[in-house]
Amino acid sequence: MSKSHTLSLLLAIVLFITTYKLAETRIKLEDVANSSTTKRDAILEVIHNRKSVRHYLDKSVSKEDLLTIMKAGMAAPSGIDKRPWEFIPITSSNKLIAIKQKDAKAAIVVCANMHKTDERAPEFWITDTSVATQNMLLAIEGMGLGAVWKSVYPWKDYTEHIKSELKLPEHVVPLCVITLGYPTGKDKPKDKFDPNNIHWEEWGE
Amino acid sequence: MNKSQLLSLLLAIALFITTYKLVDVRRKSEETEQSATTQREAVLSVIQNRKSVRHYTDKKVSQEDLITIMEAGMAAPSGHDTRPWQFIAITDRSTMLELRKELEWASGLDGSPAAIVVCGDMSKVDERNPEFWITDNSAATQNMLLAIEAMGLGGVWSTLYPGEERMQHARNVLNLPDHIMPLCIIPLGYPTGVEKAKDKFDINNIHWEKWTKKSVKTDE
Repeated sequence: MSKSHTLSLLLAIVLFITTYKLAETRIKLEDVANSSTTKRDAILEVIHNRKSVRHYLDKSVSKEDLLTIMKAGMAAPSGIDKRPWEFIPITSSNKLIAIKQKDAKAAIVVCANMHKTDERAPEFWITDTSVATQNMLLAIEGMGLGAVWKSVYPWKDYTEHIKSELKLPEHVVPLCVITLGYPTGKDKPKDKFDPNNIHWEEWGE
Repeated sequence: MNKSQLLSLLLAIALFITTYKLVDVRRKSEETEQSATTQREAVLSVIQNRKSVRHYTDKKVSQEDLITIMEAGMAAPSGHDTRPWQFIAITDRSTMLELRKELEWASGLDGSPAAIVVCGDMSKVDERNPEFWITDNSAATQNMLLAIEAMGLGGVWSTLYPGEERMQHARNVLNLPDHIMPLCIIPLGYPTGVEKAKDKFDINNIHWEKWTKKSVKTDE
């Protein structure tokens, strides 16, 4: 075999290897592109997949995850930027029973501290803590957990019950209990889209 | 040049091209991997990056995007599942300026290409708990604000409730019947980039297992 032939053979082998690698990398790129998600798609999917999850696996929720969830809650907007929220995370089964949520693996009691509200508009405690709650419900869904917003406000009896069980001072008002855990898969999201709720430019029946 | 040399040359050229392509695809693959995000990360980052955006570019918001945003609003939970919301989508600047006249703090309306007025529908609420119109519409508003952020748009919650005069003004401008309660206006558009997200995490807001008294910051 001449030198020139040897060179051709070597080049052919290297070309074959490179082509093979190229094909492999292309396939990998497609896989990554297919499995990844854009922020837009991810958030819209989580918003639409969020559901009231009332059935949980027998698996506890880590303290780290509870912290991540509450951090999401504190990123909510608030009237006059007052951030009047206070969160009471509960994992003890005795405490969960005491607040009438024995089926949950964990709970976050969402409260407002009326000392933090603005006297011109104390009602913002309701909107601000509602928004914080929704942030937490979406974080929970996005993290593969499941939860439900159990209303405390405006129920008077349950409000008193929570206040006394958790020894809340007068100025701390509970809005809701978020019960959470790993979903069994039984609870499904609903399609609640209704075009009649949309009015272009002004009110129209 | 003999045949064999010519073959070598062709092979060398082909190898050069293939190698170049390989480097290029590898780089793209790395970039995609870095920008790829899981649902968990995407949602947490959108929640943390959401900010009140009051300054917008001239670019219009499409009707399709407005519908996507309102669809997100309707996916909110509601007390007794009564879904007591009604959304008024506005793209007419004169309506926004009319609304702005009596709304001292709603500076987003000065230049917003679109706005959504979020309202409670008292004909849909459960008579045991009419107050749910506030919580339900707050949750719907937050869904929309997060969708807006994730779509590369920016918006701000401009309050109407609980200001009676502000609510009445919105009623007049939009011809709202008595059973429709305007909660807030979301002016929105493509952000100029001047507004940044705030880190509002405060460990003092967390009370493990029971209420614990902590120092309350009074400075504002």
